[in-house]
Amino acid sequence: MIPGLGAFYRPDRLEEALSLLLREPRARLLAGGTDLLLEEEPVEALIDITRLGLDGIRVEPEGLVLGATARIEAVRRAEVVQQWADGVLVGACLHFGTLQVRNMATVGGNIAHALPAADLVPALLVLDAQLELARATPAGDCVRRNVPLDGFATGPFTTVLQPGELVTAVQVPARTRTWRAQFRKIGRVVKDLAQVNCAVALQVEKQRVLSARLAVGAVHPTVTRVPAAEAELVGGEIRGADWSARVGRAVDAVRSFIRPISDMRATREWRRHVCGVLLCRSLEWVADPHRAGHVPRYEDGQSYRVGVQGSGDG
Amino acid sequence: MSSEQHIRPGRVPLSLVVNGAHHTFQVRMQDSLLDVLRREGWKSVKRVCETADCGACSVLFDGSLVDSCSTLALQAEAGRVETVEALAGTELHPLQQAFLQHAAAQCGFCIPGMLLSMKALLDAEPEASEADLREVMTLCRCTGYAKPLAATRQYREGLADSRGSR
Amino acid sequence: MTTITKPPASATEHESVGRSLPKVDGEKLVRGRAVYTDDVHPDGLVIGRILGSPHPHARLRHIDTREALALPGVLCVLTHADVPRVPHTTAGQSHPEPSPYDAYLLDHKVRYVGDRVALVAAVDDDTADEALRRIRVDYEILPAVFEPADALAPGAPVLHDETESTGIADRSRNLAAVLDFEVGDVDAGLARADLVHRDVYRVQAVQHVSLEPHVVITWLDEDDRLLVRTSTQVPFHVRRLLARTLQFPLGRIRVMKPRIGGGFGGKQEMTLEDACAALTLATRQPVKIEYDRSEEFVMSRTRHAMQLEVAIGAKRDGEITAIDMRVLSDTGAYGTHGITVTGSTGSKTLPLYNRAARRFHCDVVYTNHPIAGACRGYGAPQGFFALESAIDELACQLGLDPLELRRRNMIRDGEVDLVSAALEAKGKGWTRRIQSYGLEACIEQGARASGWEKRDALPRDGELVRGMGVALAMQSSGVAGVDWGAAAIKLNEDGSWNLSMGATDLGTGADTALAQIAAETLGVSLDRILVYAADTDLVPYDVGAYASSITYVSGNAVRRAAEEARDQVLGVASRLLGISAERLRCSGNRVESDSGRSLSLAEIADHAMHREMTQILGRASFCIRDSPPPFAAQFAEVEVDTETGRVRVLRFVSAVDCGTAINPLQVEGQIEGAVAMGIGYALCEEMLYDESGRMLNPNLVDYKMIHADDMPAVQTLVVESYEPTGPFGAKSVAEVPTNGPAPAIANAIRHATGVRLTQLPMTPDRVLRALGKI
Repeated sequence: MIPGLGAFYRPDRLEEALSLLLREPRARLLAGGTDLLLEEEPVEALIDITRLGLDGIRVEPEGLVLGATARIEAVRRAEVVQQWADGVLVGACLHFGTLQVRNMATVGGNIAHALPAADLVPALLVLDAQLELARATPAGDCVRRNVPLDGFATGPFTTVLQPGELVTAVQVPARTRTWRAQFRKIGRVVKDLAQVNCAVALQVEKQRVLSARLAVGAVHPTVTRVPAAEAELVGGEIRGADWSARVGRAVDAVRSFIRPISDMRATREWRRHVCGVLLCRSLEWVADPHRAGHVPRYEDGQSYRVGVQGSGDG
Repeated sequence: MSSEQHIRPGRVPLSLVVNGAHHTFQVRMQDSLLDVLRREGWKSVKRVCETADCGACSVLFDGSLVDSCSTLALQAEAGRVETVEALAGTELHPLQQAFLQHAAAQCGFCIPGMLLSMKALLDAEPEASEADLREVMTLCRCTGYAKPLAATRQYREGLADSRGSR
Repeated sequence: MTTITKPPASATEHESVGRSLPKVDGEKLVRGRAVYTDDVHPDGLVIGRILGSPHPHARLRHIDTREALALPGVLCVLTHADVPRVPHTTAGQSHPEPSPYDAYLLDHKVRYVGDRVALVAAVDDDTADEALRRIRVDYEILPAVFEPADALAPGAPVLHDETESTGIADRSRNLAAVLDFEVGDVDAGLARADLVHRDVYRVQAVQHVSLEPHVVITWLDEDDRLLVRTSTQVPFHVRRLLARTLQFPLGRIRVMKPRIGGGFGGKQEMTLEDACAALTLATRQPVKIEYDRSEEFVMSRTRHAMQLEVAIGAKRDGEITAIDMRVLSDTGAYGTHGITVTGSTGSKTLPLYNRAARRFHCDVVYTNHPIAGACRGYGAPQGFFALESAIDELACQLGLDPLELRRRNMIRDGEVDLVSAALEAKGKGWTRRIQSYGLEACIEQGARASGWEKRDALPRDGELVRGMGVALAMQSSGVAGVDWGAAAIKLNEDGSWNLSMGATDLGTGADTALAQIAAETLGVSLDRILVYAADTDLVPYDVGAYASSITYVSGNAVRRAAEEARDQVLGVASRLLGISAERLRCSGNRVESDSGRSLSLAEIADHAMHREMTQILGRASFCIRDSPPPFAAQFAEVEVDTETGRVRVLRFVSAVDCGTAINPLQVEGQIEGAVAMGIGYALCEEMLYDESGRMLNPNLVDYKMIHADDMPAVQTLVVESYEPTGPFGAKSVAEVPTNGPAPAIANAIRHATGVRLTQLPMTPDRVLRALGKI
């Protein structure tokens, strides 16, 4: 647990939480606590932000909004999430960790912690997620801004959050609801941090790829998109003659781009190879018109059900 | 009025409902829920990995299955905790009965967490699949999971029978 | 269906034995009421902690404890200057232990990262942690060595240069022990072979990962006796080791084993008890030491990592002519269990192919790794990985069915185990002859259940390929001439019995199985037997739970004690009924006669205690003269993802002959647990170290274990034979099924992909490299 804890705050309004953060610069934010409480670094003060009403999961005109303190398990079970972009977020949530961890961990916590293997981030990245941030000024005003999730993490455990700033919500734009998408992860056993994870999303109309997103994790200092790979897919026909070749070039682009490390989980060579394999399989799946209903849960043959949105093009 | 709690170091009060009874404990600020529960006498909650990997310390917190080792006690303030002691009355709960019948408990150290997790799963999803059972089942080193799964399947079938949906 | 040796014709339908009766402790387990070591604290309990070395090899030039002692709430700090210096082994083995006496409660030297530097007792965890931080140690850092081959080489740093240690084969070469044996002429056998297959197998250090960590509480009672409550497999060995190490009278030490949350060999040691007791003696307070999970990984025990070179020769027609096995075993910083585990790598495995010439050589080597010790299977999993992979590869190269090749050469019913004979000739152990034999039936039933005949039709194109592999195994049931136990059973007025025994139930169900044996012998229902074990003051001696001995060794003692008690019961009944005892029998909680007259046990007890003024009490000691092997045939069906290297075990079939299954459901549970452990050993468990010998993954985030969603569909076939020397025909079951999974899976991967992996664990990385993809 966390040695040296001297103060514990539980504000019930966002403004209060933000002023507290300003006054106690060394305070850490506590949402689920599933990462923080295992850190064993001394923490002087904690601000519990789970009573600020930031846990909503709802659809607004601009898109799907996930409150920063929405629990991962609540996100997983939400029908709107199951129906959004082939239920890609359901997969990301399922792979996140055990049920116990999912009941406590939060969307905002996972994003703000910026693990290179964060399981939620690739799926959100390929859906063009935006983050709503808030902080207090010394004068006591609440200043908000939106930043794209892409680029939010600048390195392992580092983000563009300013001092005193926190994530209040994640927004997934409405246009991505009908995109085809998949998240995959592989670990040494089923319950493991990712050795490699990835997500793909395609905006497809009449077999033609209008937009493509590819994100990979645990193979690079941050979860990252690979624009060069995405470019190979845009304009392609998903059941066309050159689709395989495009996928091959996209995978090559990813393999050239990423800078995986060797650690106790996997070697860099293995990560580089397998990253491409997972992407290839994901792209194959999203191209399949009969993909509805069962999504491979894992590289182990088991699967889970989601509501797959028809994209209107078969 | 702000509900902010500014608490000084040393022992602080924590209110919890445990297995239906109200308590106020004096806890250290850095205590986990596991620390508090064991110290206050709920020995069924086990300390095994303390990294939220094994589930042996699982309890129900406000009806949700959580790892007590990675829950700060203060996070649980005014909440409702249930441990395996709450499962049985004078009679065993049918899930416990099934575990007994199938010889699913060997050393028993994982059993409290395992029972709570299987019950939590089937309470929420009475028709949970085999894959769901395996996904939620907590770590065990003795049984190879075979008999705990068999016992849980029997319990699930019992639930289906009593719903009359078989 | 082949014949299985049958029980004597006089054996009738059993009331207890052979039935899956609910565990005697089952209800409190599912209620969460079972009381483990940490569940009861004496008043005034103080926390003990161990300062572990940050260096793999160093002399402790000076330890300054003043700052730590000055911290309020610290009761004492102990270093080697404060405790007796008594060389000993920490191994829980019968005395005189075959392990070197190379350990000290606290030493002037540290030999692995985590080795004991000092002990602290403080009022709570935080104070104890702070005290550890304040201990100032001046280390003279010494060069360290981590590979056994390097440790043996000239010029290597010497770990045990201290003169007081004894029982070390050659300390200047870091050689803890060495063993050789030979059956027949191996060189001649290899020379006349048509094909010789040679390979080197590497197996890793893994850990038991009992869910309950090591934990002990010690205190002085009102008579100043030292009381020890500990999670241990070996209470009597711990008592003796404590007496020696602390120089404290043995009779004034009491060791109590409550419920244990798993052992698997990791608690066949004195791991913490001496440190905790030393703190109690110094402070005169009750002290608890409990390892957290990272201490548990680094500062307890591991399985021996080994390198095994195997040469196996055969004629084209499938006659195996010779097997040569050379083992380099890493015993870590201390030699506990080193020679017995490594010797077993040969002596438990090579008997399987009894027609071949066989030769075994092992070097047990010290390195600056954490201490290796007893671990389920005790050397046999390592040996069978090598042996069953080698014979499988031989079959592939000869173009023979792997199962047929094994059948042709395997040991058979009635044969003398020639390896045991060779060892007896060297004064090591006793010759054994196979008197119960279910291996052929295991193979037959396992092959049928797994679909062995159709394995070549398993899908094998595309990225996912499937295959099937088999491994045979055997083990032993205790150590003949060495393992023994005693039991006592007494009758209460209401007809219930108290069974008191030193046998230790680790969760294995031993209490239940032994109670069933007693119940069967006494003709009573299981609920009439109250089991008490184990407390060195209150129960008779038993070596403890290891070597797959409880059912066979302690069970025999329990049976004999119950027979003695039964005879007393029949004597009383005879006097009461006026019928001779030969015409009476115990059954259904009564004594019955063929004339129809009968008495309840309560009536008999009442008469004995209140009229004859005598306590009906049976007692017996039993030392085994045989160690009959259980047998297993285990089949794995795997799917290999040839693009990720990930191996999934789809189905696993175990057919196991353990003699009579005293409690079939419990037997199945032991098998299934062993299979899970074996799969983890095969695919994902591994202790990883950096270049300074520090463990990289001392937690369950990074040390990966099999969970329910990794487990295949398992099928468990209990194939019964009848062991004439076993209680009601039983042998053992706890370890043998750990031996098959790793080789069966390696053989299945070979079948699926054509690629042979010889190093464990068979991680996706290793598989992908073997497939040439990276």
